[in-house]
Amino acid sequence: MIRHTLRSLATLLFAALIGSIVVFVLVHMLGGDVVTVLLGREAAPKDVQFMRQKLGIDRPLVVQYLHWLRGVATGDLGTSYGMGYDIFHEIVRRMGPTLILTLGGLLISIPLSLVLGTYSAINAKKVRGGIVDVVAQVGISIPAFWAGLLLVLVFGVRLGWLPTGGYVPFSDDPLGSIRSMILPVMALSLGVTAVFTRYVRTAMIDVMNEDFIRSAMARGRTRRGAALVHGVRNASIPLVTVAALQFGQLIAGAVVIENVFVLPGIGRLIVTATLGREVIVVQSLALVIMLIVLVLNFLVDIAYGFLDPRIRDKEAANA
Amino acid sequence: MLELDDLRVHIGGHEIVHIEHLSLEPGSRLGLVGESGSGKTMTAKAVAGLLPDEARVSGSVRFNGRELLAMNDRQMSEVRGRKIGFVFQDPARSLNPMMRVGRQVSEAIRVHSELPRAAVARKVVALLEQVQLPDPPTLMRRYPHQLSGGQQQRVMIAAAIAADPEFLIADEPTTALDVTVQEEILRLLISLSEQRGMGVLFVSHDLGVIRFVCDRVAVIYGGAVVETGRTEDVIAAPRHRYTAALLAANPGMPRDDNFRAFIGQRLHTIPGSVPPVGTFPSGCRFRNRCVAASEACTAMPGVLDAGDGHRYSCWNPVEGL
Repeated sequence: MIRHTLRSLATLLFAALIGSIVVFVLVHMLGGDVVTVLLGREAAPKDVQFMRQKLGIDRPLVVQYLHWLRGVATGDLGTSYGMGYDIFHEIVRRMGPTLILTLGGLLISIPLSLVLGTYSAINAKKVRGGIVDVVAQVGISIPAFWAGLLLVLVFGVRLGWLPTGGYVPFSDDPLGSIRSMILPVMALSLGVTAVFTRYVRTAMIDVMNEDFIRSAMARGRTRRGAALVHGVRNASIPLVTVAALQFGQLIAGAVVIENVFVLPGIGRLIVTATLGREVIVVQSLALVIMLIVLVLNFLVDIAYGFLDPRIRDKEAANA
Repeated sequence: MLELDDLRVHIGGHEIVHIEHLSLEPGSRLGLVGESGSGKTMTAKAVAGLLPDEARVSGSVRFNGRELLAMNDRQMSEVRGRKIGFVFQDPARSLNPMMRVGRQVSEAIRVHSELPRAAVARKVVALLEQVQLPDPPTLMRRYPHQLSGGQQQRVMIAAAIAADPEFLIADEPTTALDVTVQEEILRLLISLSEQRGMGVLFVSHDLGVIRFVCDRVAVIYGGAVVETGRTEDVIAAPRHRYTAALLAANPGMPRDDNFRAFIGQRLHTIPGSVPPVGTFPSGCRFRNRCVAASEACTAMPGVLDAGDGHRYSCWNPVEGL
C-alpha cells in the first residue's frame, strides 16, 4: 500500500513537470504581446524595448521557464503587469470561491446521482425509471451558463429568494456566504449530476444482473433491498473514476459560472488575465488547475483500495 | 412439503419447462437430472421466484399448502432464505466481492429476525463451524476472494441455511469445484440435510452425483419429467430410453459405491445434443436422438407405473437389465 502510494506520487510529480512545460509552451504559442496591451499599438520602438527588458520577457524562453518554475516553488511570481497585484497571493485568494464552487458541486452531485441513478436502474423497465433517464439526458445537454441564467431569473429576480450574484466571504457573513453560493453550485452541479446519474444507472443495471444480487434475493432481500445493500457500493467504483475525470470539466464550468454570478474565483481571473496578456498569471493558473486535477486523480487511485478489497489485496501483494 | 403441479415456464414464446407433477417430502432429497438445456435450472429458479424478467410462469408451486406463484416480490422474500434456502453453481460469482464473508452469512438472519448484533455474530460462528470452516472468528472478517472455491461454497451453504430453512435448493452446487472438493461439499450437504431434517432439491447434470446425494430422482428432458422414482430403482432398472442413455454415459455407476469412480469417466455419449428451445419434435421429445424410436413415438407417451412410485413416459421402454 505504501509503496503503491509512493509510486503514484512519483507519477504525479513527473506528470506535473511535463504538464508545466506543456502549459508554458502553449501559452507562449498563443501570441499577443503584453507590451502592446500596456503601451498601445502606436508606442515608440525604444519604449517597447525598454518595457520588454523591464518585464524580463526579452530573455530566452528557457530562462523564463526556469524563472517561472522557481517562482511557483517559492511562492514568488512577481506582480501583475497591468494591475499591480501580487500574482501568487492573488491566485491563492481566488482559489477560495472556485474550490467552494467545484467541491460543493461534487459534494452535491455524487450523492444525488447515486440516489437518482439507482432509482432509475431499479425501475429501468418502468415509466418512472425512464423519466429519470430522460431528465438526465436533458440535463447533460443544458449548458452551465444557461442553467445559471435561468436560476438567477427564477430564484434571484422573480422570487427574490437568493442573491443574483456577488460573493460574500464566509468569515464576514456565514449565512450570506452560503446563500450567495447556492445558485452557482446548483447551476454548476446540474450538468455533472446528470452525467453521473447516467453512469450510476448503467453501472447499477450491470450489477443487478450479477449472481450475488440473486444470492441476496435468495436469502430474503427484495429486489430493491438487494440493490441498496449490495448494488450501490459495487456501482460506486465506476462513479469514483468518472468523478475524477469530470473534475477538469467542472473547473471549466466554474470559469463560466463565476462570470455569470460575478464571483472572484480563478475562473474570472483567468479571463481578465488572458485578455490582458498576463502571461505569467495565465500559465500559473493553468498549472494550478492541472495540479488540482492530478492530485484528485492521485487521491482516487488511493480511494480504490479503500472501496474494493480485491484491489487492496493486489496492491499489498505487489508491495 | 413442496409440490409442483402443471408448472410451465415460457421464455420468448417458447415453453421451456412443463412439469406435470413433482413433490418433495420434508427431510428427503430429490435429484433433478438432465443435460444442459433440459430445463432443470429453470425449474429450480421457478420454485425460487428468481426467473429472469422475461420469463412467464403458470401452474402451481405450493409450499406447505401456500401458493408461491401467486406471491409478489415482497411476499416471496419472506419465503426465500427463511423457508427455502438456495445454493448456486458458481460460488465465486454468487458472493458479493465487496462484502465481508460474515455479513453475507448473517444476511438471512438479519433480514428475517431482529436478533441483537452479538447473538447474530455467535450464530455466524456456529454456522461456519457447521459447514466445517476453520477458525470462524477470523474467517468471517475475510472477503470472498481470499477464500478457495471450496471454502466459498461452504460459505454459500452457511448463508443458505442461516435462517434455518425447511428446504434447500442446490443448483449444480459442485459443478464449478474440483473432484476432491466436490465430494466434501456433497457429504456436507447430506449431513446437514440429515441433522436438520432439511429437504433438498438437488439439481445436477451428473447422475453419479445425484445417486450419491438423493433418495429420489426425477430425470428431466425438454423441460418435462420423463422418469421418476427412488434413485436406486431408477439407476438399477431405468425404463425411459433417455435415462438409460444417461446411465450408459456414466459407466462406473451402477454398482460402485466409491464416489470417485462415478465421475470423469464418460465412455458412451448420447447421439446429438439437446435441440434449441422451440425445436423439439412433437410427441416424445427425445425421439430424434433415441436408439429405439418408432412410429408410436410421434404421439405423446402416457405416464406408466413400474411400482414403488417408479414412473416413466416412454413407448418403447427398456425391459429389465
